[in-house]
Amino acid sequence: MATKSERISEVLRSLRQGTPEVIGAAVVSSEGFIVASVLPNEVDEDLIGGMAASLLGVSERISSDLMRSQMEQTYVRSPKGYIVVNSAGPDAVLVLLVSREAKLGLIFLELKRTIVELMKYI
Amino acid sequence: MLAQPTHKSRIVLLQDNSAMQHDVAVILRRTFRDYDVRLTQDSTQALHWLADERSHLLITDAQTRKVDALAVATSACTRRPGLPVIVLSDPPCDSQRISQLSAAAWIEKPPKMERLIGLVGRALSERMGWSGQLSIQALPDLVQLLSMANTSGALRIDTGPQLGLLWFDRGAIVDATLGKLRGVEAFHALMQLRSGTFVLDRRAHGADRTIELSATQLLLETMCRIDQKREQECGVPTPHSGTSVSQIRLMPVIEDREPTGNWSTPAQSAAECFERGLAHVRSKDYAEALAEWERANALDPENHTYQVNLRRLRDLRQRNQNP
Repeated sequence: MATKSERISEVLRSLRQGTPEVIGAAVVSSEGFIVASVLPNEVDEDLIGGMAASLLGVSERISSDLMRSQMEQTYVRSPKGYIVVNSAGPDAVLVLLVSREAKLGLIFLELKRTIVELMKYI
Repeated sequence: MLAQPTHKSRIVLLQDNSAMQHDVAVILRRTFRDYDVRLTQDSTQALHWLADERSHLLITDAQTRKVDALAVATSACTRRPGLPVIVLSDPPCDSQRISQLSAAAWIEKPPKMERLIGLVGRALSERMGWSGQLSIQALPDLVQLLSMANTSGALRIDTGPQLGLLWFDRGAIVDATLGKLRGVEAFHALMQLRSGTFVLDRRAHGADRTIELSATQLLLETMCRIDQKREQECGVPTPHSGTSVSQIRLMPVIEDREPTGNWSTPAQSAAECFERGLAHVRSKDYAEALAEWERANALDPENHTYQVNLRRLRDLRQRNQNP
């Protein structure tokens, strides 16, 4: 029987296959540990975990202190693409590496569907 | 200045008509640049070159002024079964003798260069097989492998002073020769050779059947003999000492069955440990999480995610211990 991490990996793999603009995806725990990931070889998994944890910390602080609310989504845009961090339940976030050519609306739509799938296993 | 030794594959051209030899050589060198085209009018020199595994093709006249070139080709093919030969001949040619050569093609003199190039290209592209260096006891392993792979062809084993041939037909060992020995005895003598070179020629065929035993029987018997020989040399009793293959009872083959009961691969067990570690992390039980992840990492050391998380967890614990 597949473990939760294996099922999460499967969801991430199908997201990447169905959306070529998604270069990589990872589910990271709120402590910054990688639960599952599908990342290209050149992307450092360690860096993704660390970066997601930092981004999550800052985003949650901003959300709670300035907006008196929970963080839902954060994204960073650079000339080379986007990094989207979306909460996936209280204990994890989904991190997406997206190419610059992507239509963000479509990506967010896929993101929502993926989160619903992921919530079955997180 | 001495010529540099070449490691290129060779085409040997045995011809006594200098003009034609020159024309053919120029065309071949231009077309098959990766090959070392060697010219000679001397049969001894040709045989010397052809004994080398780097020689992949012989192009020869049917008859030169000095020697019976077909006899040279036949001799080369005896030593190198499956060596492709292209014969240049004035009609009428000795078609019966040519057909006895392995993989022979015949072309009328003066050769049409397009046809010659086509024949050479085909002969070189059809060349299949591999070669290597034998070490002690490797030969029975190699024979077993070839037998299991249903190989057909001739395995030529060259130890320098001795030349052996082992013929396979769809995995069965059908003939063996070593010096004056032939059949089963030649096979066992071959298997006890300590080192040498080997070439498998998959195109060679047509050996007479002198061995009726199965490859397994032959190999078991030969392993017994090797053990007995070692015992005599070292004085150490071996599991097969004093036993012949007829005395060894083969274990019945266990039928393939669907796996039953609970079982998991190391990767699956590692995934389960990782999962338990994650649960401990959530409940802030980092010591337990560390133990589980170390187990996961030991079970699946190639998994990068486990490595990354383990490193982070160790860092985290260190920071917590030394705030």
